Amino acid sequence: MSRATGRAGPLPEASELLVVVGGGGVGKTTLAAAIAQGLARDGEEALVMTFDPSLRLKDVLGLAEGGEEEARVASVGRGTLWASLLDARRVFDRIVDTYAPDGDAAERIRANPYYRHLAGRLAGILEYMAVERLWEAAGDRRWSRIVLDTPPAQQVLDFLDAPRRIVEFLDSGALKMARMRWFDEAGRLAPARRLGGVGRKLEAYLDRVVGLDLLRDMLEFFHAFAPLLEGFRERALAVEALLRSERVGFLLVAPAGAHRVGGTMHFARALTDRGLRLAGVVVNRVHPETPEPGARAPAGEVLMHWLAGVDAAGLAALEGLLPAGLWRAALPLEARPPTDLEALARLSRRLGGAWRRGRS
Amino acid sequence: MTESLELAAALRQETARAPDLLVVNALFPPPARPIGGPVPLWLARRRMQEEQLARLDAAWEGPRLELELLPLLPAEGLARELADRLDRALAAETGA
Repeated sequence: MSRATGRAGPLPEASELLVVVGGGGVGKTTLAAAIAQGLARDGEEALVMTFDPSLRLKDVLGLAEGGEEEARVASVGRGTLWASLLDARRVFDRIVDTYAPDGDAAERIRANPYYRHLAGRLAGILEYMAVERLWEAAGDRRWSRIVLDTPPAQQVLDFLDAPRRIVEFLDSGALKMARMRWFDEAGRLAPARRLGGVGRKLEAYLDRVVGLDLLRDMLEFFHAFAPLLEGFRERALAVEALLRSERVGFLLVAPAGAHRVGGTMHFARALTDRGLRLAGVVVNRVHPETPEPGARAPAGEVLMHWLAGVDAAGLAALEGLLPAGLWRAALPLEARPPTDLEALARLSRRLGGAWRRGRS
Repeated sequence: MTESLELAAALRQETARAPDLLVVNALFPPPARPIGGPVPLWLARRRMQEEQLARLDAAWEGPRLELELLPLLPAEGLARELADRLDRALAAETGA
């Protein structure tokens, strides 16, 4: 791996969708934006899709909560840089509008209180909506390249497993039970009514413990949602196949430091164990080598020298562990993170260019 | 910094209580005397951290401690050293 000189070899031949993964705070979002910037400079219509960019990067990319779904950031060289901020609720609403049998059915789902809760907050929904969003974007011919920034480590594994989990859920007995008719026309729990006095006690107990209104909203939601379920299943299977296809490459962004090597290798294996194609590894924010500090050197200088040694040991260890031939690069720690497009462009040039293969 | 402040706000909203203490960890040490010539990388990072601390001054009124980045790996007793420093900083803060 090239040392922290700011130079790396050219990025590997790559696929049209690049998924940037890594732990929290390693600089994934910035690198994803820099790579998309480089792609645009090389003449691509490049879209960077992000989950949760910093305020600083939102400013650089011109993204705003509730703003346009895809913002045209700038013409860069011969191409254009686009950016998109994931809004799980908006994606879910659009799926409902697109796939519900008619407008009334869509309205019934969207008005359901359980849906309103589910669409924004339920664990796993954000990850699955990101997958749906990737699927939408991958089918949109406006972009010749897509760079997807992802949530931190464990969440990104959830993201990658989301299609399979949704299929398992849709095939599960729990969902079949949820779609049974549990409430009568009067809104009473139907099985409890058949049990007389015991049933009334049971109903009161359930109301106290889980809240029958919540249960009713949930079950009504699954009834109204039933016509969309098969479509979800089909798309989830298609997305799963897409993620494992040659069209998609995964770029792992890793922290520097000898003590972080184990985590990096664990993550790399988690990707390949899932049948995903690891396209490269970037070790980010490597402390540059410094001369041996003198006896009266400031504490900061001594610390920086120590950090450079730890990072050099980490790079050497990774070099011995990563598969031969896998593209890899080390980027130096900068005095400041990029605050404008020109700084993103410099970072992109350091990465050595863009993904070059044409979109099929 | 933004994430920490958002987390503190979320705690307030979800649990109706604020964090008892905010610890800012892994700061580069401030220079003991003026540094001449080009700004070294460690000092540039320290200055950036100071900008974030100034943001914190404006956004967080609760108790706060600052700990420096230590030249120790987790396997070299980092947790113990941090615990000692945290104890000392807390004692200084509370006057104990």
